[in-house]
Amino acid sequence: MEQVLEAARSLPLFKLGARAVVVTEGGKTGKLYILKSGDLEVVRDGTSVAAIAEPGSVIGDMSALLDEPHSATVRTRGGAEVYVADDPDAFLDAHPAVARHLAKLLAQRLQKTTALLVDMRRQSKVREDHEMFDKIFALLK
Amino acid sequence: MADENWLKFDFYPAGAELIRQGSKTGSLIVLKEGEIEVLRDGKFVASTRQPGAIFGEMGVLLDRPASASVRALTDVQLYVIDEALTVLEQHPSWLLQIARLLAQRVNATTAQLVALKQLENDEDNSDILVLPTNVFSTWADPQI
Repeated sequence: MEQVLEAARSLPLFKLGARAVVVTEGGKTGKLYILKSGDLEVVRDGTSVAAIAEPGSVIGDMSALLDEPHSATVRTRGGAEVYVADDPDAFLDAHPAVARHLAKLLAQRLQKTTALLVDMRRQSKVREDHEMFDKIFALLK
Repeated sequence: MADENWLKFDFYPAGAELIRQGSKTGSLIVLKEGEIEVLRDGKFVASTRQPGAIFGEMGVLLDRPASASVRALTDVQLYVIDEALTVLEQHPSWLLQIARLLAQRVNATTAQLVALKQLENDEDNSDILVLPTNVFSTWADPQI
């Protein structure tokens, strides 16, 4: 986070008031945002699903990397200071430590989603076996 | 480290183990030619003959032992990047490429999770598979 903030110092800083929208769900800014101070909330389908308050948090990475629309709206609560990288690729190219940090976060996320997926598949397999067992058992009765 | 030596060419015969599950090397492998398979706990997970396919990136980035083994199905030619994290920092475009691949995979696995979850919700007896909702928000929230 420290390294991210250090790198972000070269970027323009925006001061946002309360309830200001940073990115909109379904919209595509193509930019990368780095929280300097304040707090943000993530809103999906009108429901607040998470809070972001740690300085150095990166917003918009998935959208920027994949060139896809934002999957959620991010807005300020009380207010926030946010660095904005208009050209994420150039910014990450110039700051490998940030790129490495992002890659690490993505790897962590991937590990979590993969573990969950494996878990769910295993559980549904158990359930299938269970159902099969019930059927066999019913036949035996 | 001499800058030109970071990409080592190497080749292995069919059947050779390129990465052993549980080992920690800090190296990255890039497939050049041939076919490899990925095994977890001795069970087949995937195979590829795609030149440019990367292996070992999760272990490198997370500084953890390999979560699966990689084995040569045919004779293979590949590139090895030792001390990959250091090398990658000197080649940010590679890092960016890997970040992009990871982002794609995060998207794909998330989509599968959502589909599975949906499937369960559609069923009547969805009492077996209940994940706490906070689990979902933790993996889903920062993907903006």
